[in-house]
Amino acid sequence: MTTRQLDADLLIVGGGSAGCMAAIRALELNPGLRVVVFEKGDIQYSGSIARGMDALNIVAIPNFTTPELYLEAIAASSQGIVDAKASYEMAKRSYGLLKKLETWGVYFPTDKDGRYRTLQYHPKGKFLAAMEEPDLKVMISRRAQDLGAIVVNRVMGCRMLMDGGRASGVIGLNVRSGEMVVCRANAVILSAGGQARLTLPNSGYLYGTFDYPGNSGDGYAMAFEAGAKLTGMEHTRRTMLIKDANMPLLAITITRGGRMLDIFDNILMEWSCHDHKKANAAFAKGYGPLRIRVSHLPEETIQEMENVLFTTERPVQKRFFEGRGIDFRKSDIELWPTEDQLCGGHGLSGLVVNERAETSIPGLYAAGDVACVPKQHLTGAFVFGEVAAEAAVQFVSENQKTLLNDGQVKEAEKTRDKRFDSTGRQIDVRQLEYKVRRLVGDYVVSPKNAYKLNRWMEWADRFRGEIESDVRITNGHELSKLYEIENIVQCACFCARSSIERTETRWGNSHLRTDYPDQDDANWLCHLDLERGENADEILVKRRSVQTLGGEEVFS
Amino acid sequence: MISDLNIQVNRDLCTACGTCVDRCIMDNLRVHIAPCRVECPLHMNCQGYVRLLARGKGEQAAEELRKYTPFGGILGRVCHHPCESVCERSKNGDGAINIRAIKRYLADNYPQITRSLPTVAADTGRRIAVIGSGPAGMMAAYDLRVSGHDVTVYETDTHPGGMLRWDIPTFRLPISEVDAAIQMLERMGIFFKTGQTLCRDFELRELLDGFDAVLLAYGAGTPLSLKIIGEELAGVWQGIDFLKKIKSGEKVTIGKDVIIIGGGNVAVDAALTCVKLGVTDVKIVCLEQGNNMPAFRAELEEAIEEGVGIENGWGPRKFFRTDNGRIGVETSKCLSLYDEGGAFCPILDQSCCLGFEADNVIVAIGQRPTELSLPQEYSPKQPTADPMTLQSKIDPRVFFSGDALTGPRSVVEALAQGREAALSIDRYLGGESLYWGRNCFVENGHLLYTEPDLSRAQGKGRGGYERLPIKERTLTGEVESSFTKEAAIQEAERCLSCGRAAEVNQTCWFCLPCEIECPEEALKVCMPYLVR
Repeated sequence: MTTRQLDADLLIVGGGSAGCMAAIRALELNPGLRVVVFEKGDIQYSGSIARGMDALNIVAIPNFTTPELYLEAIAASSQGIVDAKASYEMAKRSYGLLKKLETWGVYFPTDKDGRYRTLQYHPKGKFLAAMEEPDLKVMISRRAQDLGAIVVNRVMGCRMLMDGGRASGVIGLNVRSGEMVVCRANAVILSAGGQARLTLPNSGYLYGTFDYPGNSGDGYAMAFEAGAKLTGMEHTRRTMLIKDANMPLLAITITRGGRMLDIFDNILMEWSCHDHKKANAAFAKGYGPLRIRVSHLPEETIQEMENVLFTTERPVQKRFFEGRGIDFRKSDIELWPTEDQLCGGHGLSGLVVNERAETSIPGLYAAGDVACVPKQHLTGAFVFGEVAAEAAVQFVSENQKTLLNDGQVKEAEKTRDKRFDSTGRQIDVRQLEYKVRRLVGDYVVSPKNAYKLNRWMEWADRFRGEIESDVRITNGHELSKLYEIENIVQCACFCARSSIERTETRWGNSHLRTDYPDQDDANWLCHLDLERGENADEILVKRRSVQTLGGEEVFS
Repeated sequence: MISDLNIQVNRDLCTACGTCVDRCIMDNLRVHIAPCRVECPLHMNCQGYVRLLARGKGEQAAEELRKYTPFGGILGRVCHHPCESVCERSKNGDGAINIRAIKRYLADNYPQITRSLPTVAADTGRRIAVIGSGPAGMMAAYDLRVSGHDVTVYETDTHPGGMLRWDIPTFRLPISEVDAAIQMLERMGIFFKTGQTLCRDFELRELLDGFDAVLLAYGAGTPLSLKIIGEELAGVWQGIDFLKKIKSGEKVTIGKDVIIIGGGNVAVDAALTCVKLGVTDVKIVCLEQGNNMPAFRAELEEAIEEGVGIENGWGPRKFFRTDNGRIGVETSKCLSLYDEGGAFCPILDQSCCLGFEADNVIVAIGQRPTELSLPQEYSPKQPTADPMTLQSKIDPRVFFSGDALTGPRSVVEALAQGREAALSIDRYLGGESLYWGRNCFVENGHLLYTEPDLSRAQGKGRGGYERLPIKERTLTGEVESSFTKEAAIQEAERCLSCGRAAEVNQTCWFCLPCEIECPEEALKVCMPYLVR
């Protein structure tokens, strides 16, 4: 098989929200730059916002909310585990981002006084700005390409290339042919999303996850292998969404007057949807399935909700409800916990980055869900896409070209060759994924305890052995799945390693330890970072202090 | 079994265009490709344009055709339609879809679409010389120009087009069709330099100095000789020379009877030409038996229909001048054509002879790659080109395509070769490897497995062209005329729509871009069974 060789000034891995914004920003700054984007799917719609988003969750609108208030809000919802600088930078740039998107034709509804429609999504402040743009992704991917981004579709990032200690590109895999695609670059932006396929959704359907299932932790695994630091990998996020369909509903309904009820019709949530404690407790007690009721609301409001839900983000909801015979005016909507994910956009997991989107590796930047800027959502993806591009473009102009190390490519090809085989192999790749994720669900996510977390590490070793030589791979697609499963296993190990280290409970059911059921700020008001040892298999854990805006470290 | 459980595809509407496969962000979808499309050397979506026409969408059909080639008018007249030979409809007993006729209908009725200019990419500053302006050179020139390269085509003859221009008779392919194609290429910015012969007017080395890459597509224009006594007699002509003289309007004095040696397409075309010239007795004499003659079946039948006699199984030993100034042809019975290894090695039985006599003899036993005095190592007798990339194994800047490399093949095969060579050249100029991603089926998400459904068969038997009555056929008019609109749609409706998109990988996230982007609204996402 032949490996394709490419060359770039800047390589972006992942053509989703952050990746497209990064490409746009880089080419705005330097139209002559050679920007290559690796995209695992097809860039036109790929990523978490295939049909747009109904809101920018974080916009600090002048004379209304402030970045300072946002810091308070995010500190509260992250229980103190947040580095202020990056979050502040994001909030500071968020309004400019909204205005920029507006000039591109993105629709943000306003009232008759010209004020944007805002809702409260956080513990404090109405930062959520309504946005009605199902074609958002199409618009930004088109813009990136029109500006000259060279998009390589159907290629997933596999391994970082390193030139000494500096990032020098990425080795990718064509998910149809199994051929490798190498791109040497002078700087790399990782924007490959989070880990959406960590455990199984309740339906048992591997791709029925609430977040884009193409996000299989590729960025986390690649960066870690290259020596970058990860953080917050113990934060396993799950939430209460539409049962079976796993689609968002709370933000749209609760904020407009919808109610969350248990089986006794107790109201668990109304108007404000940021605190899930009551909901989780009720469910844990067996008072579920919890339900959303909107039938008491005026027809106008119900139509407004349907309008949003059935056109933007996950418009297939409409036919899901039709298929189930659910009319918002007459029936309640059942909820159920989703699968668990690791995510820097919804949660606290990802590459350690500063306010310039720099990772711990020179020449490597990270933006979007792959980076940890706690609960940054789409605003973070867009803002840090731009921030990463700005930093990367400057870096490229100030540094020499990198050199490609052929040996690294050959090693990757060897691994690929060994995996791409079916002779005498029995394990079906889909069954492997099902089993891996089932066991991750059994052992790694809340409710956690040391026994379970250690058991996972044993299972991980077993799975790694199977991945190397026992899985029947008959085409490029199956091969790419095998690489994704390897990343799932690796992410589960990151999670287990951090989880076992953090001997406390924090963030509700995102890190609930039955053997350490209390929050322990005295010992644990800090980040837990992961870094590889000499051996790629070694996961080293280190504590890192939380930093205030002024740069002071908050000691626990 | 192809599943409609989640992604439901309406086979009446799906044109197998592949848009959904391209847009799916989870790489869930594939197109099962109809056998006609697999068999086509250009892998054109013939099902697509046939089905669109069947639904009365002539313009969209023309656009679908245009996606794959700007040369629909030429192919619609002379393609040997390997697609039809594998058409599933023919299993119904009422004949394959007349795909070539439909193609011609679209080209003739929507020339503003089927010959429309493509969008040419920004100038790359790279220059390519193409030697030969036949179908291989034309296709390569087209593709390379679309990529933004500067293309100059060198043609030894006075006008471009190669065998298309001079050697396919007017009654099959008028020069105006060839001219229209060349004009389109010129309007795209491709330069043609006629009257320029490689190794005579300029050398390969010079070309390589002035250009970044050179494509050798000079065809198979050197006729094969019988190497028998009498071949040089006056009144004995080579087939392709004869055809060219006639098509270019030169006056040719021909006798009352003609013997044509050879059983291929040139022989048949020469025979049909003689008939139209008024020759009363035209005979084809060939080594092969009836069912083995290399000529296209339909064209052979046309010759027989027009009264050409066929003498199968005879090989010429000698030509001689008869007493009355005619040409005598001595033949022996052909016992076998191929040796054990499969090489062409006819064996004649000297003891079994048959004599013929005619005013003229035309020799049409085949051609070989045009003889040029290229540097030894480039001689196409040796396999100097990589079979996959068509790049020369000696100089990476040199590429081959078409009959110059393969020996005589069909027009569509030459076009396909031109396309492959252009891809290789574009890669080479971009500093990229030529070997990755060459399996177009894998790259595009095409699967070769289909589930044709004969119960979908509509309409009656295969529709044929309107053809001029034999008496009205001349040298200057086309024998076949285009389908009428009704006939074209009727024929298109016979298509079973064997190919289709489908969910294959079970990775659907029900995000809906496939449905949104489907130009025919043929696809519906029902949500996976486990979820809904």
